[in-house]
Amino acid sequence: MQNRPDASTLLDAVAGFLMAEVAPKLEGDKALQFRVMIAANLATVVSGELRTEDDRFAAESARLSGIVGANATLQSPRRDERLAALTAMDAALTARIRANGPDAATFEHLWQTAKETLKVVNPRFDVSENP
Amino acid sequence: MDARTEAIAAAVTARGATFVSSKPLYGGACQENFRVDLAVDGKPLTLALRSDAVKGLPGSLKRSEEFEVVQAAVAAGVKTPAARWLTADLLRRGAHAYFLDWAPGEAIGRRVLRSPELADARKQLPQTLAQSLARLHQVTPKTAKLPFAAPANGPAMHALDDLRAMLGRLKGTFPAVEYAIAWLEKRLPHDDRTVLVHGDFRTGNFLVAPDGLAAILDWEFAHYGSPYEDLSWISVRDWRFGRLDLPIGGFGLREPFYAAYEAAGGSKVDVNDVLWWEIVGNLRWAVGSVFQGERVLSGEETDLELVAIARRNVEMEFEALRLIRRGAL
Repeated sequence: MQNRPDASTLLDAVAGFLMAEVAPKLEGDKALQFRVMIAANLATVVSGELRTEDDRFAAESARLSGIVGANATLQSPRRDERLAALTAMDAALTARIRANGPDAATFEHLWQTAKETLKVVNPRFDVSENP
Repeated sequence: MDARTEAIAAAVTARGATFVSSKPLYGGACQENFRVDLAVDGKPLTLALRSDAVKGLPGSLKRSEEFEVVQAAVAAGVKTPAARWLTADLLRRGAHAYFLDWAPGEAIGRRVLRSPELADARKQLPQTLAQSLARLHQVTPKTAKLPFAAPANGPAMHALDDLRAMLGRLKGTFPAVEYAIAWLEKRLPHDDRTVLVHGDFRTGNFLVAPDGLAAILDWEFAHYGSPYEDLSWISVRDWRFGRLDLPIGGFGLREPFYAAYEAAGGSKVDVNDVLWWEIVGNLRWAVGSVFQGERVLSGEETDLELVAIARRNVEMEFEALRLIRRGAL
């Protein structure tokens, strides 16, 4: 499979092109310029998601397994099946919250997951407890 | 003259005024707005026209209902432009429209918070907003007949039911939102009074001029609910436009705002109840942002900004969890 340059590198190149070469040409149309910048940002977000997916998946699924039990499909060679397993565990967690109410272990998992996600989708977002 | 201009001119003429010109204004997703210049008895007058859009947002009022809310708010002494000339079928069949007194000023959030000409206005904004809010919250289901019902199980439980209903209509699971709802359910607020609330009381919906607050706008989400919905929505993280150090709309501190509200006749502000409703506000916006993306995923719209907003839900979820972790504002 052809994967050099990899998907993240290509998306970073698209984002860089939009920001450095396209956006400055659109000073006369601020609304379009803003949308080009949104497009560039989305490419950066997807690039970051791809680059960090394995690590985030491992951390999130390990925590979830500790709360709702492991799911054998987490080890599937197919990416779509692994993600479906994570979704199924999230559904189990939701059912658990509805049945048992809030608890510290669940909170800690959700707190870490939100922070890990924000680091990728919005690195400028302040994730400190007292910003 | 295009068909819409002709329709506006005809409506103005029918009220005995002389039409001069009209131009479309950019605005919300639930209505179409125009600036209309006219003359009454030879005197020039500028009005804003608000018409129902082809498709409203879920939970938003129709213009005919909004017209009644604006009249109630004006009667209560809220700083908002007076409404007149409610007209059926003005721009299209089935769409109501009405006219508002024109108020000059800036509404765009980032400019309201940063424009140097508005520096003095920002200082008095918490005070004047709190006064209007206290007056608005004097309106209750007992004192006004408005075209919607009070929540039967009280505003707090209604808000949680509403969040659950919204989650039920979405694909996917949102465990952080579920967790926050479960947490909130265990500590319902003490003060569960029902009053008329603006429903979208935040920076971006306040028109600000150099001499201060010019008008509170956009009543399409008004409903009977808790006064704390308005008191806390203004502090939801995203509506501070980056000024996290200024929790009242990105321009003010909490204590003077709550004190001004109390001094203007509002009930005593319980900060624990503000915390409860501020978590609800962040959850509403978390779920709301996912719905914005659904409009694209369903094929109904293709807007780039809407898909981008859908991925921002984690910001609001984080803020709800942060407030829960702190257990204080």
